[in-house]
Amino acid sequence: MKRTVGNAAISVRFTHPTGAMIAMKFTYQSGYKPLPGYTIKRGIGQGAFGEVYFAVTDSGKQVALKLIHNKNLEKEMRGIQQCLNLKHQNLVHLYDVRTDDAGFHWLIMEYVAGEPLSSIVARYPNGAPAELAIQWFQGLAAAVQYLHQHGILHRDLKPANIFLENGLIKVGDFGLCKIIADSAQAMTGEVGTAPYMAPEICNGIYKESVDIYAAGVILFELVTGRVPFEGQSVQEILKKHLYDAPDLTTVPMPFKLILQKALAKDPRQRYQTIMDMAKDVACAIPTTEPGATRPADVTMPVGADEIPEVIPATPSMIFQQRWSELTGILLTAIIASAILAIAWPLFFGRGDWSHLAPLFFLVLAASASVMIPSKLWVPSDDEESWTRRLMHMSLGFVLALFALWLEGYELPAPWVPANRLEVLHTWQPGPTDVQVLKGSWAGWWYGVNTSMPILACYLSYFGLMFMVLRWWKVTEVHRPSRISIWSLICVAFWGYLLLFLLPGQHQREIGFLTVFLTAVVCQIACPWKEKGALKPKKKLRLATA
Amino acid sequence: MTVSDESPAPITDDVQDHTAPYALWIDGVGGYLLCLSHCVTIGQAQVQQHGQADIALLADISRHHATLHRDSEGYWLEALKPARIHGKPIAKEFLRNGDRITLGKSCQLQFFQPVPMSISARLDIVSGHRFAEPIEAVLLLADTPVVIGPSAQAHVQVPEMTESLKLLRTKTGMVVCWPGEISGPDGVVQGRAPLVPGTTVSTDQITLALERMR
Repeated sequence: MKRTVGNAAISVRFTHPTGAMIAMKFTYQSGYKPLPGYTIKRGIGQGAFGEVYFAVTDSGKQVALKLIHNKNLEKEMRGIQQCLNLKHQNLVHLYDVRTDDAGFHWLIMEYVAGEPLSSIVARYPNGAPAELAIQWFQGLAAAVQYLHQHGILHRDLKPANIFLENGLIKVGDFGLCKIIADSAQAMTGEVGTAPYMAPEICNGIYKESVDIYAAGVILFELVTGRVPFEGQSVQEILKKHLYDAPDLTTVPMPFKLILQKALAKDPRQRYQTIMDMAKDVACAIPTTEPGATRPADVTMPVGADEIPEVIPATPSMIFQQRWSELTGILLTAIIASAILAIAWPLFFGRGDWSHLAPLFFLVLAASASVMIPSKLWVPSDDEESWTRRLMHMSLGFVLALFALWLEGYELPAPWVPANRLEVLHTWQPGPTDVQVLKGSWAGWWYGVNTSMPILACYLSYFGLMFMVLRWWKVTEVHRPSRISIWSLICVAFWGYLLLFLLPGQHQREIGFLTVFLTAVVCQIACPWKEKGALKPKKKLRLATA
Repeated sequence: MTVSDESPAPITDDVQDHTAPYALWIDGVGGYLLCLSHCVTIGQAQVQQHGQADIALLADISRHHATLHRDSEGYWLEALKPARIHGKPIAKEFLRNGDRITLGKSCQLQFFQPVPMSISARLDIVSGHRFAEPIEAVLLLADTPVVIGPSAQAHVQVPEMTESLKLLRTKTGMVVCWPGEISGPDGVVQGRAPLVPGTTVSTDQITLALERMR
């Protein structure tokens, strides 16, 4: 059976391009000069409509030469000429089109000394590691976007046309694909292309959506190791593209939503641009910096049984990056706390102006104690939930001491005489406080006229407040919305519920306002990015469970 | 002008051992540098051909960085400039299958002897550097054959083949052995055909060409 061996330049190390046929016979032998100045060294592969050779020019430049068998393609050759001057790091460059003495067209292009993605995918029967798949997809998307921006459809995206050279993705065979489609070879014998064909191709519709669908199939293949629709004949596969829903049960979660959208039967329901899709793919792993397309890591081509490794960022690099992000966040937090602390009494027309400074400092300190650990320490999984809660709780204790100090109490310290602390750390209800206490359950809990251990009150309020809620959720980049009403309701609910721990009217106001405004400040200060299609359905992001 | 008394160098049996490397082009598979000499130099690629190492690399290493010596047991690596095997600095070391050779700071090669009973070997660049020639790897042809075939126990693995092709040296030059018909410059022969520089031989499964490099 004759099968495609990848149309563009393929070089082979230990392995061979997928499904190459036995006895690959090339028209020209090593040493032949089809065009003046170009010497063929060896055949590389055979594609749908031509042979690809590795050749060296007289001055030593290595090129790939594609011999196009069809002779009467003047009109289509002009289509190739349109692509000759496209330049992008993720595209296989086209240098020239020449005609030999026999009238055959030769496409002279960049020689890519890398493997096609098809043979790399073959090494991962259960799907490539997500980081690699994401990184490769970004290169593919960048190339396709560049083509689309220049008004060119690829039309034949498939792993056999995509190469990986020193960690850099190179997309080949663009501009030629119209020839394949027009010569109807794609519809008759090329099973290799059918798994990547969008349903609307059957109606003769070629738009950007065709490439986006194909990119979706490639992503599916990268993640799972197989294509969504397989079959014995082109017709069978096309029928599945038209009517069957892709089986996404084996696809890991973040990719599932992306693929659902990319492989939609209706082009209008798909991503409208390849970059929209690439953005979602970049966010598919929470640890990857969202939005930022990672630069193509320089990977070392190693033996065939090994995979090119992504050079990971060192912990110190990550820390530095997070720290610089944090300074910006903290500056915003200062401004936000100040505005909110002033806005609160202004808006509600009550509140003591003398409380503004303590409130401002408390909110700022609380926001910082939420944001600094949440941003600097991001555990790889959610297993660490309780460790993080306990850490926040201990910071809540520190905050309680700070609140006490702001109120003019002396903090417990070895150099403070014990008898003085005893006096200072109890709270005697004033006349207004007694009034309040009489009607409330806090009064029932503590008794109305007893003095209270104010240190314990503050410690328990702030400690519990920071333990019951998953405070790091308000700092996450991918929270449901910039300022989530649900998280504010959660904070308000718990802040109000725990108020019984605080004795006086003043302390309660300060305590409640501190935690509530902290939740607001954190969400204002921490950057937020919409997840697009990945918007989670979960509402209670800051829920206790 | 006097007649020069220079005469052609005496031809000895050993002469092919001092030949410069060849390029072996295999259609659909790759290009390889074929070294026959018992003493193969490794070094940085030079602008002028004169003084070029047998295995020339585009890498930050010396002009003549190391030498591979072949004896009846196998290959030895002699370091003329700093070299390491598996990270350990060496002066002269016997090479074993899978050895990772570091030349200079960053250039890494890996040595393979994939075929049991054959000391012929393969040398790959594993650090992303390039050979001066447009080749995938170096094949070191000893007195035992270089194997091109479907299994992993081959110097060049071509999974689509069903039989192995053997490349070996004789007193008269290189020959290819193949269980079947071989078509070469002298027509179709059975089983065994000479591989002469500048020509192409092909079987029903593979086509290869030999080229003199310099």
